[in-house]
Parts: sequence; structure tokens; C-alpha cells
Amino acid sequence: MATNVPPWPGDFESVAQQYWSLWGDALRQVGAAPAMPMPGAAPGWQQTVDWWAQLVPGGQAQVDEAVGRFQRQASQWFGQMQQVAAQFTGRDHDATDIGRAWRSALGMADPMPAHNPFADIFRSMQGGAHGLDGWIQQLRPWLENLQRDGDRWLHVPTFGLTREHQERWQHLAQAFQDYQQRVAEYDQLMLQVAQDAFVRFERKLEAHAEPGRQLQNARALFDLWIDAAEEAYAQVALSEDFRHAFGGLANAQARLRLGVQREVEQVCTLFGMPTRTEVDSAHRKIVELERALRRATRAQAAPVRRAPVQRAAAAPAEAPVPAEAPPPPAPRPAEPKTVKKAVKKRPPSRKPASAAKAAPKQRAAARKKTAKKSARRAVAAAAPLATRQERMPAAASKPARARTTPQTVPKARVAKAPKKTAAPASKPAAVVSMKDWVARNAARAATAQAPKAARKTKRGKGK
Amino acid sequence: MNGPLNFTAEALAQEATTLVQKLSAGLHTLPEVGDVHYGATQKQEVWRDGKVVLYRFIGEKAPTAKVPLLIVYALVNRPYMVDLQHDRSLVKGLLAQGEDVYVIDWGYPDRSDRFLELDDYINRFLDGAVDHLRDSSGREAVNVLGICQGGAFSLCYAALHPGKVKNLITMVTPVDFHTPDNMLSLWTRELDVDLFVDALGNVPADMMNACYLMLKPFRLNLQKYVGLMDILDDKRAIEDFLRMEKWIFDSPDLAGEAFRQFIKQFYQRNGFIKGGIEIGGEPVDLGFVDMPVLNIYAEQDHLVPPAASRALKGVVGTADYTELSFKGGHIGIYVSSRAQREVPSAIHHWLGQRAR
Repeated sequence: MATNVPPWPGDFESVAQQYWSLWGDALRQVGAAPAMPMPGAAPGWQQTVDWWAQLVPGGQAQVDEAVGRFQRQASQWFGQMQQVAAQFTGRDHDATDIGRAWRSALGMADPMPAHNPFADIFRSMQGGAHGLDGWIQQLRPWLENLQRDGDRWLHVPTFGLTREHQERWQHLAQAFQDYQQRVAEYDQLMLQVAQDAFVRFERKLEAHAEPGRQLQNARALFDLWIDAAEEAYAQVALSEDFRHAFGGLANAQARLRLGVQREVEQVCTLFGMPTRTEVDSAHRKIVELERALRRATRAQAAPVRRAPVQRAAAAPAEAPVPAEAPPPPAPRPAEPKTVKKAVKKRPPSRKPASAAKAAPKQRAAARKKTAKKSARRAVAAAAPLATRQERMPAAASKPARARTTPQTVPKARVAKAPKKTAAPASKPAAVVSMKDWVARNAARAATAQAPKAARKTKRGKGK
Repeated sequence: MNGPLNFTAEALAQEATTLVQKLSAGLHTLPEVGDVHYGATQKQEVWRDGKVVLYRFIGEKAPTAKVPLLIVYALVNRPYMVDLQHDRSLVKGLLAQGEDVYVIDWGYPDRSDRFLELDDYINRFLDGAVDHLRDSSGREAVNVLGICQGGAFSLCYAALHPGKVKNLITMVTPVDFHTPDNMLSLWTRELDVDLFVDALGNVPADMMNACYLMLKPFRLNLQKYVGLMDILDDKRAIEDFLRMEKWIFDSPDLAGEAFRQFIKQFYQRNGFIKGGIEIGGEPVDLGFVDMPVLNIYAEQDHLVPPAASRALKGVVGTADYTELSFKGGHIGIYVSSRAQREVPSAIHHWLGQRAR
């Protein structure tokens, strides 16, 4: 490929022609040119990229996908930005001029443009195998046919032999109508994003007007636009309006999808084909059977399975075993030594405090409810380990599940009131950078190692 | 020349020419990029339950750590997210430090898995894997490293089975789902998740990925691919790029019921903070997480804002709580060069201080 830059011909189309010529040279070098028809005269950036994408050997899914993504969207936006940049070479300009040119390039000079490329970005993201847009486009004629008689038809009472069918079709048509409205609401927000992005873009450009801060190439201009667009989008995407529009759109899509699925199932039933509802039902039964089987198997296996070590922290300070409490699960054959060791090792938790502060209202309500049930629970509610005590019966009712069983650790039950474990490392009060932390520990380790090494060396010398 | 732009026509022509040169170079390099391999470290299947597999990573030297370290990642990811390539592998770093590293591979759920619930994921698969490690290692409890949603699962698991978790590490894990900067969470608030799952069955991976792209649509859909031009003449950089693409877009569909429960209990009800999470009918209270906890969050995380992770400190039961901030984003914390330098060391040091 030639590396000498030809002189500026005066306009971008000529530049395109020029790099097309360079491009032709490059292709001749890789031997691709003869096989591909050259597009018409004066091709622009996008044609170049399209042609290039055709020349990239296919067959590798990852490469194809990345090239496709580049070709479909990124290159178009960048190509347009190149053209905008070309308009301002060699002449005085300001941020407003560039902003106006960029709006025009995107077809958004009108405040209410016929087409919003911002919305296209989001549609293309949904355009995968499960995206609704393409699918709805295919169904549109049929759905519009349903709506042909207008709103009136959608709300008339249904009767007669086909009453159920009419009603279903009405719901489907209403779902389609609702979906269209939701799409319009969403697009409106995207238009708002676009308009705000232009304003932000101009503001950012103004900040670059001073000498020394000026943008040096089209790519920098493009990156600045991306920053502006992201900022504008983030503001809208975090708003209540967006939350409402997004939720509404997703729900409308789901309703429409369900409606169409019902129609498909009708047809399947008509021809004796299995439906998704039936398959789901079969799957549900299998899963439930599998769960029942597992519970039974685990219940059998439980007595010989090693129980987890009960931590001292898990036991209440002085939790009396209530008379009405369900019988505890059979003690597991945990080795006393291990349990003792674990009790010693495991520091008590501060869960009472945490549990109380996590959700005071819910916990207070739970305590109240619990207090009514039994005297034991009333004690427990006042004590810090209410939640754990509530869990005990649940665990007892599910002996199959290998859960902590306070009864297996009588020592823990008489343990002193929970106290906080002292962390080996100092507890961070504010943000602790991982980099600093690692460096500090490495230094500490090195310091600890140094005397040992010195002793070793000394001993070695002595020998 | 006055104005924000300061380039001449010649400079613009030069820029265009350079781009054409890059495209041209791409015609040479792209065909040379063979099958891009993922997963740098050798691993061995040690346990399986249906589609869920527990792997043990095999390092160049035998592990010095006595307690297994189980990595639990999010259902939308694949296990190679922590072992992408030789110079971007959290696993490799941990192995090099002497840890005995395992990962639970959730597999690709299909329609027959639609009715899997959080109870299945936590009390069946995760508990099964932990029990296997306890049995095989002879230890009463193992170390667990939960990542993102896997961190939320690990917290639930540790609260329900505190005796089986010796030390818990959470990385970029959401705890408070209702921080004001949590875009994903905000979007789910008005989602009728029952209707959604009823309509879709399993939640398609494409749909989930589209949601993640929507968090930064212009950067992730436009700017990133324009940036691809810069590396078209660099085969190795293209391979790295393609690996990342795979990392991002190779996602399993999500089991419908588990998704329904996760969205309702975590995203919509903010159950870790407000209470009300139930797994298999049992309440989850993080007050029961009484083992030492290391919580690592990323400062520029656009998926799990730092505040969402840091909320753990206020709800977790342990007094031995360490919190570290990583300078990077949600993906950079696994694959950036900074991550390779800092994350395995931090985890290893922290575990080492608690080794008994």
C-alpha cells in the first residue's frame, strides 16, 4: 500500500475517491480486487467498509460477528462524523456550526425528525434471535388485519359459538395496540436523549475551542460525541420516566408474545401437535419428581453424612429448648473433637446487631408474630437470635437437608454472649485500595521473612 | 484557525488513509486468526450433577493451601471468565500463589431446566459441590469466592450453611440493589417478571446481553467497534479482542423460575437489605454470615455500583470484614493487567492471614 499522503483535493467525496484508489492498490496486493466488482464512482466511507467486509474471509463465527457489528453500526456513525469534520477544515467555525452539521448528518435538524437513529441503535441490539422487532414486523400485517375495524371492534361484547376465539383475538389486537403505544413512548424518550446529546456535544465542543485544547482529528470529534451521548443517555436512563417506559415496553412485549403464543397453540392443538404449555407441564412434573426423589435420597443418606461444624456464633446465648418444640433431628455422628475445635476456633458472630439493623420493621413484626406463638419464641424475640430460632423448626422439619443442627453442639449452646471476632488484619474504616493493601502486605511479608533469612544465613555461616 | 477543531485537510486525509491501511491490514490478519482458545488452565472434572460440573484447576505446581477455594460466578457467564487466557487469568494467579482452585460450571440450561429455582442452584448444586469438596479435602468448611451474581448466591449459601464456609470472598457483588446509580435495578422495578417469564420460559441470553449493552449503548455498540480498526494490523490484539467478545456474548439462557425469583427478591424487593429473601422456603439473613469476609468491589463498575457492593459491611454478621477497592470496572477486575497483579495476591494474602 502507498504510504505517501496525496494532497488534499478539496472536498470529502474526493478524499473518498482518493482513498478508494489507495484501497484498490491494497486489494491488488492481496489479490482480491479482480474477484470483487468495484462500487460506483466516488464511494464514501461506508461503501468502502461494506466492500471491505465482503472481502474479509468468512467462516469464523467470532470474526464474522465482530466485523458485522463494526460494519452495521459503528462504521456508519464514524463515517458520518468524518464527513462533518471535513466541512470545517481550513475555515473558522464554532461549536454551534459543528453541532448543526452533525444534526443534519444524522437527519435530525428538525426538532421532530421523521427518523431517529438513536432509537435504531436500541432496535438493532434487540435484533437477535429473540428480539421482538423483526418478529413483530413479520406479524404486523396479520395483527393490523385484526385491528382493521378500529378500536370499536376491540371492545364489543363477544358471543356465540366463537365467543372465546373472538375474545382472544380482541385481547391480542389490544396487546398489539398497547405495544405500539409503548414503543412510541420509548422512542420519544430516545428523541429526548438525542436532543440533549446535541446540546451536550456543543457544550463540550465549546470547552475545546481554546488554543491548546482543540481536537486534532475526526476520531477525537467522534469520541467527544460518544461522551456527550452517553451522558445524555445516562441521565434519562436513570430517570423515573425511563423506568416507567422501559417497564411498560417490556410488559407490553411480553403480553403480545403470550397472545401470539396462544394463537400458535390453538393451531397446534387443531392439528394434534404438542404445545409449549404441554411440554412445560411435563418438564414441571419431571422437576418436581426429581426434587421428591432427591429429598428421599438425602433423607436416607443424611445419618451417615458428615454434618457441618456448628459455630459457637450460631447458638443462642441461653436458648432454652421449648417443650412444644418439634423433636430435633437425630444428632449427627460428628466427632466431638472436631466440634470442640470448631467451637473454639469460630468466633461468635455479631448477627444480632446486624439482623436488627438490616430490616428493623420486618424483624420487629416477625418478633411480634413469633411472641404470640410460644413463650420460647417470645424469649427469642427479645434475644438477638430470633431469626435463627425461627429457622430451627424449619430445619427440623426438613431433616433431609444437611443443615446446622444446634442440638449437635451442646457446648455451643452454653457459650457466652456473642462477641465480635478480632480480625487478623486491621479493619478498614474507609476506602482501602487493593493496590495499597497488597503492597502493604507484601512489605509486611518481606519484613517477616527478613529476620528468618538473616537467622538462616547466620546459622549457615556458623556452620 | 478558530474553533474547536484544529486539523487541516491534509491531516484528515492522512487519518483516512491510515484507516484504509488498517482495513487493508485486516484482510491479512483476520484470516490468520485461527480458532481463538479460551480457558488457559488445565482443569479436571471432579463432580457433576446434571448439567452442573465442578472442575478443579491444575496448576504448574501442587497447591500449598489446604483448604479448597471454590469460585462461584454468575449464571450469565461461563467458567472461562476467570481464566480467559494466560496473561488474563485470575485462576492462574491464584494457582501460582498456591491456592487449590475449583470452579462450578452452571452449564447451559435448556427448556427442560426452566423450572430450576434458586433453591436448586444454592441448596442443590452449590451445596453439592461444597459437600464434595468437604469430603474430598477432609475439611469441615471450604473457602468460597463468589463473583457478581455468584457472590449473591455465595452470601445466601453462607447464611444458610455457615458451617460449611470457612472464608467468604465476594467480588463485584451486589448487596444493596436499590442504590440510585444502579441502572439495571431501576429498569426492573416496573417489570412484570411473572408475565415476562411466562412469556419467555427461559430468559434468552441475547436479551440479557442486550440489556447489559444498553447500560452504555454508545460506547459498547459504536465506539468499541470503531476502536477495532486500530488493532486490525495486530493479530494478537485481535485475538484478545475476540476473546473478550466471546467472554461478553457467550452467555447461557437463564432458567425461568430462578430468574423470576432473583429479580423479585433481589432486584425488586432488595431482600439483602430489607429482608424477605427465602431460598427453598428458608429465610436468608446475612447476619448468619459469621465467617471472615473479604469484599472486593470495582471503583468504575457500571453493572454493580460500588455502593451496591459496599453495603455488605452493614448487613453481614461477621466482625472480620475486609473491604478492598479495585481501580477498574466490572470486567477489568478479571482481565486487566492491573487485576492480574493485584487480585490474586490480595485474595491469597487475605486467606493466608486466616489460614489455621
